Formats: sequence, C-alpha cells, structure tokens
Amino acid sequence: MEFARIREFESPLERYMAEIIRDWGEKYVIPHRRNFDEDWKEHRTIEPALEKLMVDYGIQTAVWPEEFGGWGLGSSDYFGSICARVMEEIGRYDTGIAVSVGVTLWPIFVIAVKPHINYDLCAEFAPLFMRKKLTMAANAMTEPQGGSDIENLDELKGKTIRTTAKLDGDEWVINGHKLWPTNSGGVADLFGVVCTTNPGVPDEKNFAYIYVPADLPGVKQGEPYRKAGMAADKNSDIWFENVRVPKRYRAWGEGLDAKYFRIIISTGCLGSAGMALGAMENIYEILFEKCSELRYRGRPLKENTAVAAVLADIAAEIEICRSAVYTYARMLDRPDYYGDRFSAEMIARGRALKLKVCDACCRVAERAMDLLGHYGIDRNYDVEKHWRDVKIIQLWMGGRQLCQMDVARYFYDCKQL
Amino acid sequence: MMMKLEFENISELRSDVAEMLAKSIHEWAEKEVIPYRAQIDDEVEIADRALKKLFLDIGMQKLVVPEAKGGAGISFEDLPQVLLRSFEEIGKADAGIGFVLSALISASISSMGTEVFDYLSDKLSAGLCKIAIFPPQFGKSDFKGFELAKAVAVGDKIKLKGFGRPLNSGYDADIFAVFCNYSGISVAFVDAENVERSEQIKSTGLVASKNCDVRINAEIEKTRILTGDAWKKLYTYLNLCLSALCVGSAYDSCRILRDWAEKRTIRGKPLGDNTVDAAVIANVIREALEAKAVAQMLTKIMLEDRDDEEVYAFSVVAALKCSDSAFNSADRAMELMASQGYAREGLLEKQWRDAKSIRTLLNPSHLLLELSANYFGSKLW
Repeated sequence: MEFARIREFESPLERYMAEIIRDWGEKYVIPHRRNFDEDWKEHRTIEPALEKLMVDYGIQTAVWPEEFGGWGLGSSDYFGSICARVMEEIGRYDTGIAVSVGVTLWPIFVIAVKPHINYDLCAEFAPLFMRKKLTMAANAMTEPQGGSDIENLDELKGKTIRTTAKLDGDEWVINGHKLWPTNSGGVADLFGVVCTTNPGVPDEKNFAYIYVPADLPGVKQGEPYRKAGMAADKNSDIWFENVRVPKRYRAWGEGLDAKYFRIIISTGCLGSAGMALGAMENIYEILFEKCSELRYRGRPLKENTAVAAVLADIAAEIEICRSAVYTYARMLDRPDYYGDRFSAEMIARGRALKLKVCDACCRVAERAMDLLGHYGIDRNYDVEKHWRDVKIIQLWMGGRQLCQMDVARYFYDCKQL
Repeated sequence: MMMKLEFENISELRSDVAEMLAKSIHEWAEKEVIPYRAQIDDEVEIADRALKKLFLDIGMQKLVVPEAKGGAGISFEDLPQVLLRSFEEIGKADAGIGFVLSALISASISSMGTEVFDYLSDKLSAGLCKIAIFPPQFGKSDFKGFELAKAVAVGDKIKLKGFGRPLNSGYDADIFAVFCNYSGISVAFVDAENVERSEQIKSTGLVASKNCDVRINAEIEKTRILTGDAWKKLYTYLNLCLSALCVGSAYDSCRILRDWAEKRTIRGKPLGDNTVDAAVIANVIREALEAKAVAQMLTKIMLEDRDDEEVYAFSVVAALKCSDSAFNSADRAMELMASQGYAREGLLEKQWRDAKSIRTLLNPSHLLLELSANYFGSKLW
C-alpha cells in the first residue's frame, strides 16, 4: 500500500533517487541491520553501506553546484522535496545512516544553496567531496554548558556560545569544546563550527560559522558515545585548541552567518521529519506482515477489531505525516512563494513539523511494540530498533521544548519566551 | 526547601519485616548493581552475580519456602507489603533482575498449599533456581484468544506439548510454569530437561531475563499441576511484583533527572526555573507518585478479604498503570535530558528500555479487553 504522495509535487530526480535508495537499502542495509547495534564503534558493516551510497551513488556530491562537479541540488526548484525524499527513503532502512548522510550535506547548505552560494568556499571545499572516497561533514554546534541554547538564536542571539573565534591577521584562531555532533568520533573530514567573536554578548553579528578541516593541528576528537540507538551516527567530544584557519573560511561574515545558519534549522527539521516518516513506513510494513502472520482469537491479528483500530491509528498518523512533510518540503522548494528558507516563518513551520511528526513517530513505534507483545521487544522484529532510534530524532535539535518555544513565538507573537 | 523524592508507604502497609528486607536489598543494590549498572548490558556476568546474591544470599528465592526447609516462610498476611517494598527497591537498581524474581515468586506463591509447593520448595532450597512462566501464546482461541499448551491425561500422568516464548528466562530457567488446557486452565510445572530451547534472543532490555523460544514435550505427574483459579493467583502476585518494580523504576528516573537538572542551566537560569522545563519535571514526578499510589492500593486490597476475581482484575489495572508510569517517567525525563538521557552511560536509557519492555510484555491491548470482560461482562472470547 502507498501512503499519500502528491504526484504533481514529485520531481523526476526524486523518483529516480527513491528507486536507487531502495535498491541500495535492500542490498547493503537489510542484510546487516540487526547487527548495527554491535557495530556502533567500529562501523565495519555500516561504513561500506555509507560508502556505497555516498561515493558510488554520489550523494556526497549532491548539493555542490554543477560547475564544481556536484548535482547542483542547492539551485534546484525541488531542493526541499528531494532532501525530504532522500531522508524518507534512507530512514525506511536506517535512520542512523539517514542522519549521517543528512548531516554531511547540512554545513554545505550554508554556502551552496541558492540564493546564498559562496563560490569561493565552494571552490575550496567541493573537491574534497568529489573524490572517489567516503567524505563526511559535521555541524559542530552543541556545547557542554547549554544544550539547545546555541540553536535558540532568536532568543539568545548567540550569547551562550563559548567556542571563540579570534582574528589574528588573516587567520581565525578557534578555541572551544563541542559535544555530540553527528559524524564526529573520527568520521567527518570537515566541520562547520559555530563560534562567537565576542563571548557573552547577545548580538548576531558575533555569531560566526567557520569551516574547519578535521585534520588540522589542534582539532581533537574523543571516543564515540554509546547511545540507546542510532548506531550508524557516531558522536563524540571535539576540542578545538588554537586551531588556525584562513579568514575566508568564515561562511559569510557579520550578521550573515547567523542569518544563513538558520537554513540549518529549517532543513534540519525537514530532514528529521523525513527520516522519522521513513521509519514509520518501515514499521507499518513490518506490522502488515506480522499482524497477518500472528493469530489471535482464531484469526490473523489484524482481523481483530481492537487490533485493527490501533493499526488504523498508525496508518492515519503516517498518511497525515507524509502529507505534512511534503507540504513543508514544497514550501522550502519555492522561497519565491513562501519566503526565505531561513526566515522566522519557515523556521517556525519547520519546528511545528518536527514536533508533530517526531511525536507521531515515537507513538507509532511504541504502539507497534505493544501490539506485537513479546515479539515487540525482540530485536529480530526490527520495530524496537526503530523505537530506540526515533526517540533520538525527537530529542535532537533542541528537543520538544525548543520546538514548542519557536512555534509559540511565531504563531502567538510571544515576545518574552 | 526542596522536598525529598522518597515518599514512604502509608503506615498500615509498613512492617518491620518489609523494612528490614528493603534495607538489605538497598545495600545489595549499592554494592552489587549500582557501581556496574552501565556495564550490565554488555557483561552478562554482572547481572548473573547480582541476581545470585539477591536470590540466595538475601534469600529472595526462598521468601515463601517454609523455615523448616531453610526459607523465610513469609505468610500470606505479610506477603503483599513485603513484596511491595522489596520490589520497589529492586526496581531502583535493575528491573531485569526484578522481572526474573517476579516470575519465580508469583509461581511459587500460586502453588502454596498444594503438592506442587513441596516440589518447588525442595527445588528452591537446593540452590539457585529460576522459574520461567510460559503464558498462553499467540495462536488460536483456546484461552481468551491465545493458545494454551496442550495437556492430555495418560494414566497417572499428563502429556504436555507446546511451543512458543516464555515471559522470562526461557534460555536458562530450571523450571517452566506452563499454562495448559488441563481441566480448564491450569499451570503445569515442568523441569527444564523436558524443554528444547532455541538460541537466546536479543531483546530491548531486561538483560537479566535471558529468553528464547521453547518447545515443551513432557510427561509429568498429576501432582505437578495447579488447577482451578491458581493461574489467577499467579497473575495477581506477578502484577503486584511488577507494579512495585515499576514504582522503583519510576523513582529512579526521577532521581536521575533531579541529579542532572540540579547542575543544568538553560536560557541563563537553572533548568527547573524555566516553566516549560519545570512542567516536564512535574510530570515525571507525578507519574512516579501515581504509580506509588496505585501499587499501594493493590497491596491494601490484597490484604483485605475480597473476592479473588476482583483482586485479580484490579491487579491488572495496577500493573498497566504502573508500567505506563515507569515508562512515561523515563521517557519524559529523557525529553529534558536529551543526549544525556539517551547516552548509555547516563543510566536513564536503561530504565527507559527496561520499563518499555515490561509494558510491552504485559500485552496492554489484550489486558484492556480482559478488563472490559471483567467489568462489563463483554462476551469477547
């Protein structure tokens, strides 16, 4: 069965990418997925799957402009829809891989998406991603002291950022400690680092987004953390100790860094919702199979009205969530109609989408486990893996509370939150 | 002034025996579990060692075994409050160990006063013992929609056949309490030699309960079977143990959240001084207190002279509510703690996985139907 997909919204590239990702997922993920939890540190089975997708299928080149060898997704009128579809399709197989892929594209959005394409920085960094070698990126944002405060730009205006960037001649000198970036723990080749040029002062002019190659002296990464799920997403501490990068590695400059950084929030919300949607769809597929197989009261589980009611609730959540995800994706496709992707309005809509879809996804996974009884907690049934994974999606990027505050601030014109 | 998290049970449910045992369990947890809790999932010997100490050294395995056989000989009059306090303390440490013990205790209590009890008392006195409950399985509709193991009388013996997944410990249990269709719904006690086991399954949580699918093909004496309403008594005590276990789990989630929140600032203020975060914290505490209230009510009802059916039905409600609360406490605490909540080293995520496992194993969709049958006489099966 297919959930709602508005065909007029769908681009030819999106459909093609969905096909190749499904082919990839069946061949390179499903045979190993049940062992991903044990592979959280080494990535012996995870890395080949990522490599296939990123290098052989070329996803790591997708956002870069065509003149630098990329697909030019950043200039596409289907930018949002394609991002959502890629996350949905990968999320169907493994949301950990989805976030690892999504976060590689994330820092690049700041400099390679229309109308803010920084051609000098594209020329500098695109070649790294054109190599026939797995190349990953990370967004170094969260710090030990403040959690979601860094992303809470509208309220705090970068006041709590403690990672500093000081200009010394033609170089930025970066010092600070970041926690939990996806693709840290030795995975990423390039970091987009959130810094302040004037610590403790709430002014977006001081917010600096600076690109830092991972192999520079002074960049130190810790061992990956072990988490409830998302084994394919490695996270660790990163320390920047007197790391020197050329002045031109700052994305845009005073005020503009904070402005364009916000595309990370809107696309992050879309990507999170997209991969959560994919996980829900896979849970639906598993439920379809198992609830046809398991018998209760002399008939297949799904043919009992009480069970059917829960199955219907799950299908309804997915149906509505898919419509919502692609509505928002289309809005991000067309800033000419709906406003800049980094506008307060689009961020609030994105936060609302993430809040709603992630809540729905967690609820779907919980109810699916309950329906399956002791098979629900069996790792061979895969539902519980999704349950552990999707909880993390719900909580990243500031979690529910920051989503709620951004939504309230916009939709109710709150001034003092 | 900050209130303490601990909330003592109501006075009539307190007893010296219960408090003494709770103190021993608390000391056991501090020494055998808490220092190693982050490693329990990976190093199975930690849970094995802690379980053995709880079962044998503290003697929880022999709680109802007569004193003449080396047990504590706790009577029916003292049992509910002893179980309430004991399992609360265990739940703060490791729900998996408590889950295995719940099955053992409820199975042994359900046999008190029968020949099965003599058999179990000998087994429980002889050394470490685990009892797996083999409940009705997904299948046809022999028993309220589920399928019972087949039991056929052959002379003085009963032949038993069944296939499926026990509630707990299928992989390493010494005895299986098998729900079967002998003279209505009965519980047969089968030695592990008569059980064929599959490979151990990997589960979400409750690591101390090593489970697998089992094939039962046994011939047992008729004296090894409990008939009548024994299965309801088994479930009633199981529900009490699990309710109390979940109370402990919910309180532990509160403690973990409090310890983390005390050091946390957000938007330039202590976390708890932000109303949006304070509201979540309040819900975490509310869940734990609600679970505590319901578990105490079940304990009190079990001490009164009530109809068994009524007590059984209430125990179902209590187990559902308390497992919901344990999960919700951990889940909402995780909502605030975010990465510190879902990191394995933070301990909350273990409570989260264990609480969800208990809730799922209770099979809430089915239990709700059963409640409808109990309270409204719905003709469901």
